[in-house]
Amino acid sequence: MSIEDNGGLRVLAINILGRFLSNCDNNIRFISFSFITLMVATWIGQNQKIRLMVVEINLRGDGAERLRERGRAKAPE
Amino acid sequence: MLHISFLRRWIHFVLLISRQGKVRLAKWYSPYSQKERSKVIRELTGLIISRAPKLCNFVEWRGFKVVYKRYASLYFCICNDHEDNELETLAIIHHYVETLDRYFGSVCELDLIFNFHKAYFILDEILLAGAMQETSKRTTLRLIGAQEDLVEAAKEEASSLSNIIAQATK
Repeated sequence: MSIEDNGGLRVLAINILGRFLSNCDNNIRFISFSFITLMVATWIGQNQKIRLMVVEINLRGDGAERLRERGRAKAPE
Repeated sequence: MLHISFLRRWIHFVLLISRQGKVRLAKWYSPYSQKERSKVIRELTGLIISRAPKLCNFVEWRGFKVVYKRYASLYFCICNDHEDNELETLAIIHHYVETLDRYFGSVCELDLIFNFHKAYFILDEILLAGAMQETSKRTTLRLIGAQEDLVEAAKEEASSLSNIIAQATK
């Protein structure tokens, strides 16, 4: 069972997860970040704008450390 | 393909650790040797107590997810599989704490030190084989009350038996 994705759905997914990422509760941020890394990790890797947004939201706390661990925090030169 | 998901253990162990690093309660739902248990406790104690209060309540450890929450001077830790829902585990911890609070009436660490067996009984009513069994606090407390009544009845029976034996041996 799968859902065919397109650009619009991807943007919608990122927007929904982004709302959770901007939550002040670190637990919710952690879970939304886990979802982002699980579901759309490849797309974040390709899309620099989205990657920078995720890094910006997760500058503090566990999220940024986890991003650095996975080697996605540093934007390409 | 048939997935027998109910055979999979969900929660691997539950730990109650004090601020000083002493274990107040430990319940294991997966097979660990005594050496492994002490190693796990040592690792997790160092890992959790050293974490800043602002950080999130989830720790990735040895391929598992450890969910912990601090209540006063006690850390309640639950280790579960990587795929499991962390917020649900936090809710289980909170549910257990609320049940303890209702039973003891404003529970504190000393209650758990002196009545550790009651804490184990309550945990066994809530969690069974690493999965949530009872979600109703009222039902849990009613069952614990019934257990206590049985214990009291057994004590009375034992004392009456000992009286009969004492009289017979006179």
